[in-house]
Amino acid sequence: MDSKLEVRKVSKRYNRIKVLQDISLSVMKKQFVSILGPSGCGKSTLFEVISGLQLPDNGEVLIDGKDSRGRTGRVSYMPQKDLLLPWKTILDNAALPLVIKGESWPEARRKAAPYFAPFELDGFERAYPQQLSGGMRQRAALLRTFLFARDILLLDEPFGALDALTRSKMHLWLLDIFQRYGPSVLFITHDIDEAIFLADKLYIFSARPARVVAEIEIELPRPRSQELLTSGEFAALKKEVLQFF
Amino acid sequence: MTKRLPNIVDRIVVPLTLPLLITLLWEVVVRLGQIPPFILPSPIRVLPTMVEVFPDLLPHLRITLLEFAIGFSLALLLAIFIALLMDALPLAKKMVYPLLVVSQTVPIISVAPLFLIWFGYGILPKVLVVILVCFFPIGISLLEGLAAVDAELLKLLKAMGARRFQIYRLVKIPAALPALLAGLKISASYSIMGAIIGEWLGAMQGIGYYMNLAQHAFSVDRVLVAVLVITILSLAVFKIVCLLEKILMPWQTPEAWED
Ligand SMILES: Nc1ncnc2c1ncn2[C@@H]1O[C@H](COP(=O)(O)OP(=O)(O)OP(=O)(O)O)[C@@H](O)[C@H]1O
Ligand SMILES: [Mg+2]
Repeated sequence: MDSKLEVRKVSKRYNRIKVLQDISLSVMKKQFVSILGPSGCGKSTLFEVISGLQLPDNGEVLIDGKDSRGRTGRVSYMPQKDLLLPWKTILDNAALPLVIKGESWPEARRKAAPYFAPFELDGFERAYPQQLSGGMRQRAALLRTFLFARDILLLDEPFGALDALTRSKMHLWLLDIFQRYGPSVLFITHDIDEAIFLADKLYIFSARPARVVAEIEIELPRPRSQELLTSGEFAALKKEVLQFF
Repeated sequence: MTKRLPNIVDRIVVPLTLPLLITLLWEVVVRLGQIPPFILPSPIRVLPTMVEVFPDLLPHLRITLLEFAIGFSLALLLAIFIALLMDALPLAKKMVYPLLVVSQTVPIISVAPLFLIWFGYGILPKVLVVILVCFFPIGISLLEGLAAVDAELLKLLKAMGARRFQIYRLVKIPAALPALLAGLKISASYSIMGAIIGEWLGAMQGIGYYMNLAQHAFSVDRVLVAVLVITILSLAVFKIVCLLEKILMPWQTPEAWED
């Protein structure tokens, strides 16, 4: 199988501070990969490098086998904050990436509308972001991300600000979306359970400068349900992960 | 329905209480102190004067409004243009910003007479004064609004490959709209005053000119009528900007969404 996204020995420093050190990782087609790392280690920086906002000092970023350093507009990137535009309705927020790509507003809205049901946002097309709950805002931001490019999604702690209950609902929902559309996902989190539960593969980063400390294959069967969280296999994986902290 | 009544009380009765009390106090002071009307007429005397002189006032009102409308619109256009330019080009900002600040330290009272010498007694010098007082608050507010747009949001748009004009149209300008309107509110309350100052220094028409005449004739009640008209005009302009705010930014006052 070919890798969809490959990062090879990427290093990056901001002035004197070394943030990324020889990071190598790969995401296959239709694979869900989690990155687990301490706060401030450089995870968001890695996403900025992959999405083309920052150039790496060393190393390569390959997307579909092509060098993509410094090239924006190829992968979908969902930052830590939802960053919905408060002056636009949810429908227009979701349609925004299509407009940026050059489509007209009516055309973009027409294409975005059918996804409101699977993203559990139906009925809220004409609401403003302030009128939505935290979970819904995240789903709206995710829909916007998904509509930009559905083959590679970079998700930076998308559920970090949600309460535990909403968060576990969002996990099941995201797995459903993943199953249905089959994107390649790179998912940043602080949460060990979340990292294991969602992913096919897990990278553990060190504190700054970030290095890859471990790469763990997660061979839990799909589709997954919440019972998995209390299973023996899950506990064993968690134990394996915990030894790195 | 239960909210209706308190709403009227809140929005009309409460703000009017203090002005009414002050007017009452004024009336009482004039009566008890037996102050002659040529020094300070009582409010009850000013009202009939208002009705009496209103037809004479109308042409002056027209001129003042014209000066305001031209000056305010030009100031708005100029401020938007300069602020966008300064935001887009850091070099322009470095060059123009100090000049803008300096322009505000020059007292209007000292330059307005010069406008008179250069441009005569027509409406042009008044329009210039209005532009001078309105441009700065609008321009600076907009500039700050543009600079304060969430950097993460700009990053997101860049990551999506958005071009510069798309970033301005889709994000920067709408995000700076509240700041622009805040600046508009400030300059709205200065704008009429700017026109009046211009007229007061030398004119052949306008409320400021009328006020000047009344003053020279020691007609205090007419001066007060002019003051009242100026106040009402300024308030009206301010209210129009507030209304504009509601129309332009419906998302600022959203209600709970009923699915
Ligand atoms: N544009 C920048 N210029 C200078 N330093 C930066 C910049 N962006 C990030 N840094 C620094 O790089 C380091 C890594 O930041 P980054 O945001 O990548 O961490 P993170 O792993 O995403 O943290 P968190 O888990 O808290 O989101 C931090 O020390 C931060 O201060
Ligand atoms: Mg981060």
